[in-house]
Amino acid sequence: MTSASGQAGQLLRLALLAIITLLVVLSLLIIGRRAWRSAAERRRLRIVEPIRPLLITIAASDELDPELLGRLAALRGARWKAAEPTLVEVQGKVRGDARGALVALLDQRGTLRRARRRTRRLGAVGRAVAAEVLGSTGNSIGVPDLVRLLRDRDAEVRQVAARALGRIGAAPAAGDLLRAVARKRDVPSSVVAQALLRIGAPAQLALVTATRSSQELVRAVAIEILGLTRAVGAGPHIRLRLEWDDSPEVRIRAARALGRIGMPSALSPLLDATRRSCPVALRIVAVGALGELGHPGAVPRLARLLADPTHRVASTAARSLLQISPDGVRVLRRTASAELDCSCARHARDALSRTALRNTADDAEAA
Amino acid sequence: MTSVLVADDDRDIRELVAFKLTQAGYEVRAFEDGSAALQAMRARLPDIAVLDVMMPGLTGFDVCRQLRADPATESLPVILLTARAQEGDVATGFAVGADDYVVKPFSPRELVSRVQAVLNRPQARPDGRAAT
Repeated sequence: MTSASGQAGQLLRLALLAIITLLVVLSLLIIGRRAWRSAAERRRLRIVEPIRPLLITIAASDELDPELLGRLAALRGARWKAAEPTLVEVQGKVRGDARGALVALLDQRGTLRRARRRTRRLGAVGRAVAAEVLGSTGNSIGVPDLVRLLRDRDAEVRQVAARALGRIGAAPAAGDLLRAVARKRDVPSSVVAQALLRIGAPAQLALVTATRSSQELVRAVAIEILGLTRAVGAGPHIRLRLEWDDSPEVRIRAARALGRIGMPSALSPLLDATRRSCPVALRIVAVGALGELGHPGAVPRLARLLADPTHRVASTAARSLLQISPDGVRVLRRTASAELDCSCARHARDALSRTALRNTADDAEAA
Repeated sequence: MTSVLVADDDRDIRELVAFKLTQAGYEVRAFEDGSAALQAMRARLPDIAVLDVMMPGLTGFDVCRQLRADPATESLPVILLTARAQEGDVATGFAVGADDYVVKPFSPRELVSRVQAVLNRPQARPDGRAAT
């Protein structure tokens, strides 16, 4: 018994020693690798330092100087290897002909080709860096690889790929970006939205198609972007979603989008969405959207909504009336000055006093 | 010589902007953070400031607010240079008193044109004359 427990103790001590040794070795390896990388980066920067003025001069030029470009293109071996990452960074910060020439040089020297290959690396960091390089050059050659990375197993890689597609302005990838919000390996909708906003108007067709997607989140994001970009042409499609979609969230986004787009034809569906039979959240957003729409035809309904039993609906109606000048403001003043101790008068007075306070603060600041 | 103060924590941007404005004939002082830039402006007022928004410590918005709050610097023309291009951020830029807003990635030629345009506005100088 004593011998067995002694042996067990010895085994335990050996196991602990092995674990500690392993931890120490791993720590030393990590520290050593970091120190080596840090030293390598300092060496690289020392090599790049005399080349920086040439790079900055080219990137800032209005007209391309073949002699300067030739000097950059002539860099070889260690000097090119050191300059390449800095060149990638600098070109990503400017627009214009000079940037185009720098990207062409990177393409010629195989930088883009290598980045495309690296999107298939085992390590997530390598894939993310490669995606970042492809995005920063704005060259559409990397779009198929970036679309593939939207399905990457690593969440960070997927996000970098989405942002890169936005930077490139890859309109053909708009549909893939939208579908990426609803997959198991998804991309956060905020990242996709930013990318689509950067692509802008060329993504509109894909966004309109996506308003009919079977996936709720895809429809919601598409409608949100169409509203933010004030896509007038998408109005009828968004209106359909407000009136007929099964999802309250999609209807809410549709109401908000119609308010932002601002077409008079949105008045009727938005008024319908303020009915008491509609979900409260939708009513609140629709009431707010009527203010943003600014159509005088909304004033009678908004005036009645000042007495709505749901506080948020009534207070939002008051704020919306403020936005529809002069009719809405007239209604608010009339309601506020009436000798009534009802909620409608209180909401009206509240909205008017907030505006007065804001105006006073603005005047004080201006003075 | 018309003087420009540039503040950006990104060395590449700082050097690009400084190079381009120097090439265009301006005297340029460059700083890598908002606090140093503000201190320098109070010590010697430039003719115009080009400020990055996202800097550690004092942001471009903060610097602009402080400039506008000080009678000695309130009329200094300011151009904000930033990657933040959302409507709300642009509105914030103008609300804190910026005269113009340039989004990154930027065209160096366009930045110079905007500096010239802002300086040429009659209110760019305390005496109401346009800059030459």
